[in-house]
This record gives sequence, structure tokens and C-alpha cells, in this order.
Amino acid sequence: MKRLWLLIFFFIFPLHCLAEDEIPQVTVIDAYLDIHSGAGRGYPIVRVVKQGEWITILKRKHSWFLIETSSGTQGWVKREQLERTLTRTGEQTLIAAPGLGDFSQRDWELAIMVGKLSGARTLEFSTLYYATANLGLEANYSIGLGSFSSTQTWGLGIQHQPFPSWRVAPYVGLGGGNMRIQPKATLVQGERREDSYAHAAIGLRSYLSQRFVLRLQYKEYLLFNDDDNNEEIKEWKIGFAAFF
Amino acid sequence: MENRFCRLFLVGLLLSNIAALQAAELQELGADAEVERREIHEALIDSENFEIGISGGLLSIEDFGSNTTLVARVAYHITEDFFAEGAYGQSEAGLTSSEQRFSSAPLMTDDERQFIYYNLSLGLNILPGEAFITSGKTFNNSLYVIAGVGVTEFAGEELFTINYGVGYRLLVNDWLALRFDSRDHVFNSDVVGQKKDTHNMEMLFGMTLFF
Repeated sequence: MKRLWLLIFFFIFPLHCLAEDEIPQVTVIDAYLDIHSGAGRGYPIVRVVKQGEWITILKRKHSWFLIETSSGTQGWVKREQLERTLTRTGEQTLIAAPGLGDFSQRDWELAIMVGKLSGARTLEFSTLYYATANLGLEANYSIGLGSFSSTQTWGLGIQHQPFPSWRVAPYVGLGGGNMRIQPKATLVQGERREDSYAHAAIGLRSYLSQRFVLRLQYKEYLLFNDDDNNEEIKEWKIGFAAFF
Repeated sequence: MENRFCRLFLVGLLLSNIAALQAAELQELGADAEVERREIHEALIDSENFEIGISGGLLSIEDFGSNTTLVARVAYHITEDFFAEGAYGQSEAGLTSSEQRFSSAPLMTDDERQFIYYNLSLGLNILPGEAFITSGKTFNNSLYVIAGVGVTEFAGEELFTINYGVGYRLLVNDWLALRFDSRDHVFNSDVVGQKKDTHNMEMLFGMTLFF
């Protein structure tokens, strides 16, 4: 068994060496490159790298990169400065960063929103998949916490955005789902009920930065009660969404 | 059977290794000029935007005394300034002063005394800088302000809760941090009879890892 492990080690070792070769190295083209002690503009510049020197990129934290100089010094460099370097093939370094262009071509969106549903505070989690640039399929779950009752809502819907490339993009939605209403334990009367509903929504997305969007939404629920006495509920929501 | 599996495994390894060696040879010959190298491939750079950790401390539940609390948290660092954090905390409520003084019937069952909260908050790093532990040893650190919304399960009810506070993060190295948090969890409740906004203060000390 020991021999097997030894064998595995020797077989994997050269692969590991190869992986090390692929660690990105770049050379500085500006007069110098600032190295900060931490990943943030507030951390002091502790060293500089001179023009023509090679550096190795080790890891990334948001828009900052941990680099190592040829003398073994490590520190953090901002993305904008790191792009003022050349790769091994002599091309200028490019680091992909998500932007407004990605917003109009997003496939998935995850959102968390807070709001008011006829007096109760609500928290909603939703996932959206864009089948086309204009049309999205949304699944959502929300909790409503009011003075007299709490609600749980599951829903599915479709969303249409007529102008997907706009920075502030309006949308409309239609769908339906299930709402469970649970009266508070301290109240004597009232029993738990579960009703299905249909909804119509109108909203706005405003691109913030990177992969983040601000979302504002107004939704009207039509609850189908058992006693044929349909109920209309209005809801306002605001929240953040991340897209991928 | 085991033997056959072993042999297959070794053959697989051998084949993958031959391929790797060939690639290495090609690279030595300079044949990799065709390989796209214009852009630094992001996948090659390990990004550490997530922070995960646990904290422990004290939670003072209004009217119900103070008790130990345990919190698990996951944060995503959006930029150098902002981070989004989800937290789940657990504690237990003690006795109200009237329950203690008059040894009356308890207000709640043991189950209802469980205090559980989960929330999502947005944090803003402020005052980043270096802390000098000794004259030669420095650590990066920053304060942050944080606020968010969530749900508290207490006294058999689910309560909409707002939290806000101030925290301190001391980076031990690139991937390990010590954290100190003070938070106020505010919810509206009528557990002790009168409906009011209750403030539940929490002091936490914890450790987080970046990955």
C-alpha cells in the first residue's frame, strides 16, 4: 500500500510542476507600481516595483491582487495599476471585470427584497432565469410578518423587460402561487389558511456596479378564497439583486 | 476485483501523466506561442471574496436578561468598501424580573425561550489602516458599520427584525481575521404584555476565514 502512495505521488508531482508554470507573470511598463500592505486604498504603500521588473500574481480580493516580486516581497496592487503591465507574450494585461455590458447579457439573477404587504413587513428571495434578453422566468419565496398574522408565499411568474440594455430598465410581470396565512399565537380567533393567488407586477432595475442591481417593485395579489370572496393585496418592495 | 481496480487506476494515471509530459515538452519547444495568453485568465488567479466564520458572545434580550449567543456568518466582499453578510444566531432567553421576584408561573415554555435569528446585512468598511502590535509587527485592520434586516424567532413568534452595529476586523494574515462585533437587534413585540420596540444588544468576538 505504501508503495502505491509513493507511485501516486511521483505520478502527480510532474503535473503539479506544470501547474506552477501557469501562474501568471507580468512585467511593469509604468515608471513604477505601488505595492500596498493590504487590499484597499487605505492601506499604506510599503514598496514599489520598478519598470521592467517581473511580478507573479498570487490571488485576488475584489479589485486588488496579491503579487510577489522577484525578490520575494508580497503585497497588494490595484487592478487599474496591474493593467499597466505586459504579459509574457508582450501584450498588455487585461483583467475582466463585470460591468454594464454584462448587465444587459445576464442569464441569472438572485435578489433579496424587503417591503410592505398590506401593513406586514415582508422579506423576499427570488431567482430569475432569462430565457431570452427580454423574457425571464422567476421563482420566489417570501415571508410576511405582521401584527396579527404571518404569511409565507411561494410563487412563479414570467417577467418581461422591453429595454434590456438600458441602465434603468423597467419590467412587468405576471404569475401565481400559494400563500399561507398563519394568525399570531397570541390571538384566539383565526385559523391557518392557504390560498392560491395570481399576481401582476411592475418594477424597475437600476444597475449599480459590478454584478449588482437595485430593484424596486410594486405587486398586486389576487387571493382566491374558498368562500368565493376574492381578496386584493398590494405590496411594495425594494432590494438588491446580483446577476450572473 | 480490487486488483483490477488498482490496475485501471494506475493505467489512468500513467496516461494522464504522459499527456502532461508531452505538453511540458511542447512548452519547452516554444510551441505554446499559439496558446492564448493575451488576457490573464481569471480562473488561474485564486479569488478570495468570501468570508466565513463563527462568533460567540453575549446577547441581552430586553426584559429577559443576558445569555450566551453563538453566531455563524458568511460574507461576500463586493468591493474594498462594501460587503454583504448573512448571519444565523442562536441564544436563549432567561427569566423576566417579575418571574424571578414573584416566582409566578413562567411566561413561556422552554421551547419559546429559544432565541433564533437570521439576517442579511450590508457592511461598509471605514477607517482602514495598520495596527502596531509591537514596534516591528503590524496587522491590517478596519472598522465597519453594518445594517440589515432579518427574522427573529422568539416566544413562539416570527418577528421582523432590523439590525445595525459597528464592528472591527483585524487581519491576522491574508486569509484569517479576528472580529469584534456589537449589534442592536430591534423588533416590535408584545411578549411582556405591552407592544413596544425592543432593543436586543449583542457583543461578539469571533474568527473568520477568507476563501
